[in-house]
Amino acid sequence: MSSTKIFLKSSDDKTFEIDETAARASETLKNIIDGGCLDGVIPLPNVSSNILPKVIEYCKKHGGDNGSSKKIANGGVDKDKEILPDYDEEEDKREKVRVDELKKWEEEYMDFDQQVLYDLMLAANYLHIKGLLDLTVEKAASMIRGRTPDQIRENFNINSDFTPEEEEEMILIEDEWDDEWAFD
Amino acid sequence: MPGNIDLFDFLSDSLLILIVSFLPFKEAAKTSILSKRWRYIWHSTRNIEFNESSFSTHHVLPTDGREAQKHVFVDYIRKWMSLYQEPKVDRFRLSISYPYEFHAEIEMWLRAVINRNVDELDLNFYWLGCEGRLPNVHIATHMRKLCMCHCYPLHSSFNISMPSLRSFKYFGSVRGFQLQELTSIEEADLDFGLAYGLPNRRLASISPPLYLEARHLIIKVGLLAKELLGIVMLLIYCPMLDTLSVKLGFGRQVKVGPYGRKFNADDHLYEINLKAFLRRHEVHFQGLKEKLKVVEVEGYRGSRYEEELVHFLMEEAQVLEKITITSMEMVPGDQGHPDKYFQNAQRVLGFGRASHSLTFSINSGNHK
Repeated sequence: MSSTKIFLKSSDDKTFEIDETAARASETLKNIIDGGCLDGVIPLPNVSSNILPKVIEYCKKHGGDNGSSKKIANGGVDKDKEILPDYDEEEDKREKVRVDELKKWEEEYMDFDQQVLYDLMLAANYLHIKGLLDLTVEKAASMIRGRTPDQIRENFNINSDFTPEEEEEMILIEDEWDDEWAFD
Repeated sequence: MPGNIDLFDFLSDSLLILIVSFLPFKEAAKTSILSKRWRYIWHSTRNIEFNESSFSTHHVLPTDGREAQKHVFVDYIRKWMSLYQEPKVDRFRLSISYPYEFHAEIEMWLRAVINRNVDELDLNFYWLGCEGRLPNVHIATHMRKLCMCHCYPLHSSFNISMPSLRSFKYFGSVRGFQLQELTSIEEADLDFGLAYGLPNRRLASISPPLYLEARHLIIKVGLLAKELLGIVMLLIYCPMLDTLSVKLGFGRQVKVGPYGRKFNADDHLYEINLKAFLRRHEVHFQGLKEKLKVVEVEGYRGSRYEEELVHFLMEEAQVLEKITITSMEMVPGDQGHPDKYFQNAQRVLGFGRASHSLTFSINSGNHK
């Protein structure tokens, strides 16, 4: 069965086409489609035409794959029955190749500058695309991890708006964390 | 001028909370000093970790001792948890030594995170060879990772079905409890406390119905009669297993038996005839016969039960490709015989086998 086309309109009035199966990667779009309120074009006032193609690219890659595996289907089976799923070694290998390939794709996909990262994160949040939200959030976290507060402030243009007294107190806290929470 | 814009200004607090939730707890805490906006963001992190051994404070003098430090630690958690507002927790880790006197509070914290659908729970109550008991909480059935370190359920009636559990780790003495319907399990790591000088109880008490879908099982155990049966029982319930790693240690040879009588753990009381037992119970090893490919044994000495285990695996596993045996190395201060152990290890080459394509790698622990 060939998939129905859906049309999305960006905040700056440009229209993009996406397959229905791909669009279902977004909870928000899925609800609109299932709700039967689909009336031609879906307006997305929070997503610009710079970002929307990027979002569509992600959905195309992940559409139809909503994360449910046979394992979930297997929960809560009748205890008297054989509960072991069929195990297919070839299937397992293909799965591994697929996962590796996806990882590589994600790496290339996520190669862009900070502004795009935030716009994409906002779009993923607005459209409820969990996988894309996790990807972008994790990338932002990786830009904080292992850095000093000064480096983080510089990297993200964060203005330390503490008063000099508060600043003093903050430095004490900073020292405390450094000395006393020697994790890892 | 994009260069001067604080890019986080575009993001809502809820997105900042998601970002700090991807940071280790300590690093999340450090974001509190970035700016006023960041001051309390980290208090909503979904990734919570309290570790006593890495917590100490200026307010306590070293002379005040451990107990005082522990109280400060618990006070800190108490305050932190009482302010926690988020509806969802991804991970909760708590390492606290011998938490006996704080049971009621730990119970409260656990209830709080379980009510918030925690995905991963990691508890460690170890202290100088002592274990703590798991507070009386109903572990959530949707949890994906569970790690219990020296933290055991009090009752053998602790019995819970966990169809979503993917990773289960248990470190400590063997206690009777059941996790059922482990239909999603990918990783199981069971360590029955050899390194910690804990009493080595009956592994054979692991009981069905327990199906582990694990492909790789690591068992650390001192192989005595009861453990042999226990491992074999465990294998029945791992029909997907392709790699089995057994890390052997010294069992506890002397135990105090009933009526205060000392007896050796290899005592006739526990004498088990594996084959007769399996025949009597009509046990089938379909998974083992058709799936198991790799067996690794570390710390092999060639004791009766060690031999029996390897022999059993070789006779049953029809597609076994490789057995790697590393004999026990010389332990400082020990009266062992590493050369003898290595010789014993080579004896397995002469055992009967079901697989036609079996290869061996026998190594001496001392040449590692």
